[in-house]
Amino acid sequence: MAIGESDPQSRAVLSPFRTTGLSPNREADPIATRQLTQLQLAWIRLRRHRLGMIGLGVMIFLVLMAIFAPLIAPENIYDPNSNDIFGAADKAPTLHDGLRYLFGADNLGRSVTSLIIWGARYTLLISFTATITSTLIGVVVGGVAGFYGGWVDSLLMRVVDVFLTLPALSVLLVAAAVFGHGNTTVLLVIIVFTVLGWAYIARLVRGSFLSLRSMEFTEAARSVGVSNARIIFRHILPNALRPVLVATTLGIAGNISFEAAIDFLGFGLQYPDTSWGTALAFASQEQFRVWWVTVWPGVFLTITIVAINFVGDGLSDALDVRSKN
Amino acid sequence: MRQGGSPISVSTDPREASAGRNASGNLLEVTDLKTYFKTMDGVVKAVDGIDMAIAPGKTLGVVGESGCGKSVTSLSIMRLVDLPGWIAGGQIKFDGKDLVKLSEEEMRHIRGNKISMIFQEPMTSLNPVFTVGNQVGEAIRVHRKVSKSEAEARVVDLFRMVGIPSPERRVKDYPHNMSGGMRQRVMIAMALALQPSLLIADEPTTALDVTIQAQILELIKDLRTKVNTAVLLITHDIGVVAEMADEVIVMYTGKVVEQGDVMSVLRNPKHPYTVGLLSSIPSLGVKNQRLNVIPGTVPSPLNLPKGCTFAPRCPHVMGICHEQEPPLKTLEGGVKAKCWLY
Repeated sequence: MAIGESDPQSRAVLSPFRTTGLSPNREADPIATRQLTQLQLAWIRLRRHRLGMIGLGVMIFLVLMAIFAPLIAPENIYDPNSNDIFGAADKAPTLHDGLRYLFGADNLGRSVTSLIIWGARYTLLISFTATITSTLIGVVVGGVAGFYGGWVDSLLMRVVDVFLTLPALSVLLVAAAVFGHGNTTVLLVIIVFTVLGWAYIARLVRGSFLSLRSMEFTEAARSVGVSNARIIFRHILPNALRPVLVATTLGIAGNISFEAAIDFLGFGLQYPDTSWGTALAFASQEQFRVWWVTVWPGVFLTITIVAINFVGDGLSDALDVRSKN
Repeated sequence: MRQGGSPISVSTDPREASAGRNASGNLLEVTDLKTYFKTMDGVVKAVDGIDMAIAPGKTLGVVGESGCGKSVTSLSIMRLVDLPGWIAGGQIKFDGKDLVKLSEEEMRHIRGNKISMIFQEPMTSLNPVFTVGNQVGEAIRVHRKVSKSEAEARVVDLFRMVGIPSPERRVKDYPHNMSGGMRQRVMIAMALALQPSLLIADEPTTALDVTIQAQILELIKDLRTKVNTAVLLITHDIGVVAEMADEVIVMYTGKVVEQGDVMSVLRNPKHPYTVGLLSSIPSLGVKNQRLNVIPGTVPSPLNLPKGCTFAPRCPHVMGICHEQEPPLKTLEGGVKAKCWLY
């Protein structure tokens, strides 16, 4: 094949460098594009997905906010002396006190800003950890079931079916009663979410593996003597990654809203542990007397979930290995 | 193409070359191979008792219509038949060992190393998420303890050998950056990476343009003489067989119906099925003539006719054909045919 034949493609790959003005000398050298790994290509494609980048920006902001909560938050909500219970109770949102009362204060005078910043910690910790662990379990179980098929598949998928039928709230309540002496701790919520979540991923992965296993490149890999473990993790998994990553991002969003829901119902985190859901629950106990205590945690929940969905959408496009643009 | 520095010579071991034979001097000897598939409607006998043998460095062509068991035969030799299929009987003697009896682990050391395979579909036989160099390199690294960079250097040599231009650059390409012909060259490079003594080519040119087909066949021929690899060539293209093979086997409904050296079979076909296959090739220069076809279709493997399975389509059918299955008889000239006519 002549060099000219491969030129248009390398130029297409190069165009993001051109638009961002990054290292112009790469443009003159088509060979450079060939050194890009799939990961770099995916990143290039993700960068061109505007909503995905907005979502990613929002998520990074929220994660940093959660990590540096003690430094950023005007009050330490776990310190009973830091809130101004007499001066600031039910204080309406105001721009005059900087960050502290920007979103108002609740009936204990706690600044809603602080509740949101601190609450992000448990909200994000629970949803990220639970989703990542369930993805890991789901990928292994689904991968083995889909790759080996036969009775292994049947057996594992029946187990998956059982887990899919588990009623979430009952499991949480039973787990709280048995392991938490009636209290729902953060660790317990993570474990329960994992137990409830992995089966979805397993089913998804199994489906991809079933079709990828019969692809000719899998057979070609077997025909040169590649071991099963290597085929599963090196050859098939990267091809199945796209739906899994998308499902994982959506799973994080789902877990955030589910965590908020159980908090709201009073089955979730217990005082003093605070997430956005418990902040909402606290407002509901006050019969939504003041709007800002309800609205702002709700707004942050919504923004986060939308942002994660954008990221999922962007990833879905970025990870399409055969995408030419 | 340079020969001295090609990776092919790197792993050559004269003892290996002489050890790679069975007692009879054949590299591969398949006896009474049976591969069955279990389906909802019953057992499909995809390959039903075939025999074949290949001497080192020789090419055996296997021809027949779709669904006559050609591909299953090749997958059986590689032991790549998956459930619901299984090897129900027979022997596959290779290198003095019966492949049917080997463990999966032992078989893994043979695949790619001693026997390798080129697939029909170059477009889908490469993993889209890895560079082609990476994939060919893996084939080497699975069997030999070499570093990543050594493997890559060998891959570059292999790419040069199979005629991929600017190989240093192309090893970093992803499959979707390559054309079908280039991908098939990559597959051939992968198959020949460790200088196997047997290469199974399952319709290696079916998915390619005619001009590319000729190049690929030329390449396989060329490598066969250089590397002295025996080739099992599976195809439904008689022209390819005439060009490439020393011997030919004609298969029908999972059985061998005719077998012999390629010139005798093609010049003077015995079995009516072979005659039909040969006469259905359009010939150049003859215009406005209807193309000959074999009437009817291959019978359902679940519902094979009694006696000779070709009888319902056979122009020379006799009473006995519907009653009894003919034996594979050796005729004068060494050609074997499974037909009551002889």
